[in-house]
Amino acid sequence: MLKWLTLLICLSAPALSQEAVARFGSGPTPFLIRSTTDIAIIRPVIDRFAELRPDLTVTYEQWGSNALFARSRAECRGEGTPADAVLSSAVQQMVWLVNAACAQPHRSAVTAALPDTRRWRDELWGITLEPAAIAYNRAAFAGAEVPRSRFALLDALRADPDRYRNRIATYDIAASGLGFLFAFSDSNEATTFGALLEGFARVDAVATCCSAEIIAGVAEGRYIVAYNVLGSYVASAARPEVGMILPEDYTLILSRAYMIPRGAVQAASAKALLDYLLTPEAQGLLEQAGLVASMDVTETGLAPSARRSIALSPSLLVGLDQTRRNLLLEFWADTFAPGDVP
Amino acid sequence: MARPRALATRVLWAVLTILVLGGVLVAASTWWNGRQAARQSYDRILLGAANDIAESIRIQNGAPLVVLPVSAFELLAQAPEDRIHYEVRGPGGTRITGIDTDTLIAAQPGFFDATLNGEPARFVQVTRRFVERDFSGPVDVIVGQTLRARQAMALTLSRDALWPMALAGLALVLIAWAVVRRALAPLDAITADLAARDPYDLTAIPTDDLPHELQVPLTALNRFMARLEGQLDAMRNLISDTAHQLRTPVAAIRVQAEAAQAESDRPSRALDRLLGRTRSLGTLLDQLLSRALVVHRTDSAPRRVVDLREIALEMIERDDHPGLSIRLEIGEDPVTVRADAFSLGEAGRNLLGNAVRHGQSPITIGADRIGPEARLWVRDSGPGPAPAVRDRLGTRFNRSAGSGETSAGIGLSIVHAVAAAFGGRLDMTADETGFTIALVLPGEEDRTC
Amino acid sequence: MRILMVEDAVDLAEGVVAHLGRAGLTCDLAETLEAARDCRAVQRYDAIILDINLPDGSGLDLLREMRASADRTPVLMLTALAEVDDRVEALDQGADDYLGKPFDQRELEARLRALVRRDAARKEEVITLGSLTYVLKDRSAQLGGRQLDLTRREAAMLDVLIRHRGQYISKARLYDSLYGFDDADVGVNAIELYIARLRKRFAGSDVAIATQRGVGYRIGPADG
Repeated sequence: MLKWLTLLICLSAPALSQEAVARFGSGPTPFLIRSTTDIAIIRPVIDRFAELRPDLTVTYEQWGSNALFARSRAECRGEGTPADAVLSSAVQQMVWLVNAACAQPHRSAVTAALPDTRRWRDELWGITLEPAAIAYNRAAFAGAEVPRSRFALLDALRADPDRYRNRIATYDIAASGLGFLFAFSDSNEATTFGALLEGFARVDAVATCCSAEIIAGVAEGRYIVAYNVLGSYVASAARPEVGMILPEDYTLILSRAYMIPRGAVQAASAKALLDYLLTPEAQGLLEQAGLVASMDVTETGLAPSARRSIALSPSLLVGLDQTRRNLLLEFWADTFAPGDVP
Repeated sequence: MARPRALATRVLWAVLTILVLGGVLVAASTWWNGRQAARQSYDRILLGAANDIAESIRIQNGAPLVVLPVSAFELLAQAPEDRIHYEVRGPGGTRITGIDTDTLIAAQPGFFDATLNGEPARFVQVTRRFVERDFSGPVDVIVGQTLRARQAMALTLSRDALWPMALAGLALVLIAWAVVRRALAPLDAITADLAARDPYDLTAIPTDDLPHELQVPLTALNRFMARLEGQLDAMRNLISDTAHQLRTPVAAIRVQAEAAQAESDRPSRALDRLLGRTRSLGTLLDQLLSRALVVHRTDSAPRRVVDLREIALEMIERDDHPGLSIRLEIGEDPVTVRADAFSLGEAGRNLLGNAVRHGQSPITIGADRIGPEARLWVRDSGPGPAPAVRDRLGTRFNRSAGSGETSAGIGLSIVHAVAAAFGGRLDMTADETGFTIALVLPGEEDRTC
Repeated sequence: MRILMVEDAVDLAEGVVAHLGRAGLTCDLAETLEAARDCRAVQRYDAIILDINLPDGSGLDLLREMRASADRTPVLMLTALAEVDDRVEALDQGADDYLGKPFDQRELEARLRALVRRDAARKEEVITLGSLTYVLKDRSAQLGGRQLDLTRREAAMLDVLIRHRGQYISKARLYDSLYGFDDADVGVNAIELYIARLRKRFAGSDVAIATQRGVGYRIGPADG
């Protein structure tokens, strides 16, 4: 068994661009998950699943989203050993994979109960609920009104550009698939996006790469506002200095997409994992991990009408179109002057 | 041989067959219509999306630039469960943009069907021609979509259309059943009437309120039965009427002959013979009447449990046979059969009559039971008829060789008729003690005890 | 003895009249019912020979008229009909005897004499048991005013029973009573059947024959 595992790792070695690997359980059957989610965050859920399925040895590989996409496309073409399950936050890429017939279907009571936005063709499922939030430094806004919407933020930027200069952070959409997804969704959602980018440009906003870096920056006070930060990371970072706002005009909500590759060896176990992930127990664990945000109005103050789930649908494919992508990137690049990235 | 199917079943099968055939045709046409409707609506969406994309093409720096409109994809999302494909090709089929470089579609102008990643799909190719300073030529937009939504819509459309039709079909079957039942009800009534009818009941079947189709055969049947009954009556009456009508003249001839004999001084052979013949003529008339009665009664009289011992006793009681020694030989237990007592009595009377006329005294009458069979028998002490004669005995009006002028041989034919009517036979045995002739009938379990 | 013969077949009737005349019986002839009524109006007869089918009606009508007016003159029915039903009907209407055509004239004469004798005897030795009247002399019986058409053996058995009415008579003794009929031997088993026949004749009346198993039979009033 160990030999087999070694072989597996060796085989995937050439394309190896996973960031980390973890193993759960010690059953005779290997089960491979490839995911963009940090192991640390999701560990309790996978632990529990490994407990429930003592027959499996679960190998959890953490990948960057673009690398995972490239790898999955290659598998779909028949190159390399396919994963048994793929979980990615870059849902547009997952939609592309499903559209290219790289997935296999599954239907059960729990999947059927998912809303339409979190399910496509019974081949792709949204597991988590993670809002795109505005993070802010609590100290910077002590006693002052925190901008609760994009308009409020814009107004604030206009009112006092110097206060925000170089202290607004957001994802670099060229580097982050998630950042691109949010930017793309924003551009589709409202005309505010153009104005917002202009505003960001005026105050020399910083486009940076990673959630951790952004949150740390906010906590330390280097940035006073971070736009479109994934709420789950803010929650799991557990930095009391950082406050979080779900924009009241609209809040994008991301559901990490789960897919069972067409060539999955342990398809049955992958389906079992999917069903498990959607159980109240697993959803509870995910909520504790911050991956499922409570959408209760009293807790978040967010009206249901302001929720914008990023639906798992072919519309996302537009975001992957090279021309379209280049245009957005150009627009972005025009806004964020080069060299701003630290 | 298979039993022929009932009329109602035939008609219902025919109706069902028609309905099923009609249903299949309707279902097929509905499905086809649904498919057409679904194809048209989704083709329009496909074309709309392709046009959207085509509209979004602009020439920049001498090359076509495709800024994919989200609206096109939202249009395609009308079929939420379907995979999509898009591709934009420049002059000479050069690829400008597309969803997937790996998926190659053999495109043709307008709508066409092809497979998309192993799944059947529908495509459209829209061509936009550019004539610009720095670019001229056609740009093809190919948009495709798998067929799930179309199939679902076709299914929904045809199902929605078929539901009421299926219900209507069911209603039609029920109505047809009711109508057929109703239409055939008079026939059923007549069938029940005929089945319950006594075989000898030849009264007319009422034809009022019956459909014309039934009145015709029933009227014919009634006419036939009336004729049959008329003929039966005529035959029945002919014999008994004749016998009745002949009695008075025969009585007169006899009286006159006797008077002539009484008045004549010297014995006359001719007169004696005349008297003898008139006497046997009386017997013949009795037998004719008896036979007519027996035939009539075996046809019509109800069968009852009869003790053959009583019949034997009645045979002794009914006629006096002066100068003959007759014994009755019966047991203590009833010898029961199911028959008509009068007919049995006539048969016994004729058996006795034959023994008296042709046999030798002493004569014994008896009734007994041998196994399942009941016997009414007459034995005389003579040798009985010769075997050759015995074989011919009982055929109607056959005169046995030794009957002379005193018998016309009707007697045994009556016995035969009675035996046949009650499922029995005539049994003749001769041995050194005498000749026994027996009417053998199936015994009946005695229910009177 | 004076007899009235009602018969429309003249040759037959004249032959019979001549025969009866030779036997010493005076016989008047009536060819129709009308003529018969006229004859009866002027003459009393000891017996009537009555044909059923007559030109102006049925002989049974005349019989009914006579019995309705309490005329008990013995009537012998004479007819071409010979079925049991006709015979029973004639007796039911009050006829005393019945003879089917053709007939033996000697038998006719014997029966006429018997009728007349019985008519005379009726006034003599008679045993009455309820509605049953039994004439000892000629062993004839009437039930409720109707002549019973008893066979000779039935009459013989009834004779024994009625003479010892109220007593049980053994089967053997009843069988002995049939000894007189030397022409036919019916056997002791027939007794039971004869009793059944008698019972059938008494059915529905106030006379009954009781059976005591192992002892015998007894005639008496019906118990209820």
